[in-house]
Amino acid sequence: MLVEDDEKLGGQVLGHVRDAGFQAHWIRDGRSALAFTTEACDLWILDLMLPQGHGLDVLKRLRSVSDVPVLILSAQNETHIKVRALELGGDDYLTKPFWPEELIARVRACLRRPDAVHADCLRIGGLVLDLGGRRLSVDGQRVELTRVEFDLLAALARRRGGALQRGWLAEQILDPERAGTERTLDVHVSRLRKKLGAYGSCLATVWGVGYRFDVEGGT
Amino acid sequence: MGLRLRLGLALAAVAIPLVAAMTWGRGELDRRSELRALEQLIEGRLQAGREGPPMGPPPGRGRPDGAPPGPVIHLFHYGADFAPDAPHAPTFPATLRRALEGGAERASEAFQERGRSGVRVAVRDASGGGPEGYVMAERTGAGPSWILRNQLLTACALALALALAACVAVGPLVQRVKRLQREVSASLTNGYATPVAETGNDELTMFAREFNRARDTAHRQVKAVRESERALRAFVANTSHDMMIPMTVLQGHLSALRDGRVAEPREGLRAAMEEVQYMTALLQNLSVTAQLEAGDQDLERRPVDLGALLQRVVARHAPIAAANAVELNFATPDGPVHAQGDLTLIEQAVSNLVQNAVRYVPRGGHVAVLLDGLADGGWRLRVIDDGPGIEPAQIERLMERAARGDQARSRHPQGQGLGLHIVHAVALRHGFALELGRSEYGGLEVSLASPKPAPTASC
Repeated sequence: MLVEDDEKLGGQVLGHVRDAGFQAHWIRDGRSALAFTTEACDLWILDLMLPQGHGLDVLKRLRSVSDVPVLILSAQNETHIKVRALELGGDDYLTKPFWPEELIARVRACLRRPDAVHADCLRIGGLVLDLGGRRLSVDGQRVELTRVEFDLLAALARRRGGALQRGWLAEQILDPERAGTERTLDVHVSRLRKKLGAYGSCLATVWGVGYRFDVEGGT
Repeated sequence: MGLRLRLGLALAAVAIPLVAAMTWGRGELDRRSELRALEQLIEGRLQAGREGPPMGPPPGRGRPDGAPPGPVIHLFHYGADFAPDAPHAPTFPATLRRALEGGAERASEAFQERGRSGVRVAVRDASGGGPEGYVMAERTGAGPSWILRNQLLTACALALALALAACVAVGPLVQRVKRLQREVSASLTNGYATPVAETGNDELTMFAREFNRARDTAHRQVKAVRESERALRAFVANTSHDMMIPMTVLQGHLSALRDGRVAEPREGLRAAMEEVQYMTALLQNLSVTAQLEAGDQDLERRPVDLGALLQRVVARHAPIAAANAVELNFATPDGPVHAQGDLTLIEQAVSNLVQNAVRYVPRGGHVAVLLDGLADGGWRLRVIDDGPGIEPAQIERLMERAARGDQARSRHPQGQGLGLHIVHAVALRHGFALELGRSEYGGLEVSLASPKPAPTASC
């Protein structure tokens, strides 16, 4: 649900979100927005300065009826306004002007559900990782992993899309009694990639950081 | 009405009635004293049993030299019918007769008649053993009424003289007040810039001192308001100026694209995007600068989610990084990491660090932004790149200029511009540690960290 009163900007934002594959409904004033707060949708993109009402009033009404993610759009950059919007239940605040890519990145971040991170079983294409049973299968075939390899894959899969630092991974995953180093970690990553076969490319090296599990990798 | 005249009139209004009252009281006491003396004289003569000689010329006769007669006491006897025994005795006064006939033992009065004044006292006389008669003593000449009138006149003259003397004596005081008034007026005219003189050691000095204290406060406030207005004018002027150049460059790029004069349209668009990014950052930085330079207002410290902040900043710069073929990566810890401070200021500082890195890393280069939670509950944020880096001596000069704000508005690629000045100011305001150094990849590493916790005392 897009709430924006400026015709040019609203038209552009509508185009950006539709180009990114989302469906969107465009509302142009506060009073209409209040009437739509009970309508089901996955995300609200809410401008603050609206005719016939204020975005924060719409936000308060939204929060009284649902936990739907809300991305606030505003040209106002003052801290007290941002804090107020976030305290009233806004999930994120995007200051105008913004690039379309930035908007879509924030939309996707708001839509990302944290519950899925704690799921016991992760499925990415043909790769199935049973975190509770500590088992991995690739395209239906069981793949044996060492303790370090499994913990490494599990840590990266839980944060899929987000990079983890090499130092942190080495500290968390490697056996402290064996004095493993980041170089040791690199060796484990290399071995894990081989065992994952085509899905080995999911383990992306991130310059300056460490590694990341890319969901777009693999076949 | 001036202070001098007011004081003189006030003094006269108080002194004259006071002196008159005192004089009247004194006169009354004198009159009663004389009456008592006459009564005692009569009693004495009655006991002696004979009429004494007059103590002055007979009534009605003045002194040969024409001067007013001096005080004379006469004693007259009267019968029971108030007829005088002596032919020259005056008629028994009616007021005294009524008083005695009414049963009073004695009666007295002051009189003034036919050029004479004085007091009379009359008593019953039953001392001779014969029928009751009356004895009257009369004192004439400089009587109480004449004395009282003279004394009153003297007192009034004295009071008036006193009032005039006061008018003269208060002159210097009035001059001081007038001078103080002129100095206050002059100070008001020039915006409280000049104090008033604090001469002497009295109530006027205290007044001057208090005025100067109030003047100091007002002067500081007036100065602060003027400075704030000057800063605002400078801000608006500088902002307008600073926006003109990138705006002009952008117009050039767009014009070239419109006319098909760009060999690589994507490159033209990339350059145009860069100018827009620069103008956006400039406006945001100038707004933050105005907030930082607004004065000694207290920082509103709230928990700031640095992980979420980092994601926003990276998302903001990702498009330009991609357009410049710069790989921009970031990493945040598993759990939340919070800084205490102002959300907008901290975000702008981090944004400036990332923007600088993306700008100065050549095409194909890399920038990574790393957030770590520390064991002591603090945090550290690093921006590292594999760009050309900066020599240590240059880093030192850079930090000095950032601290002073020198060339803060410069777009020079090596100058880092307003961005680093903002970072330095935000770090200073929050107590964050800011360090610049060489990254392990040969480029620049900038580190921003939470304040070190204060050491706890140990026994």
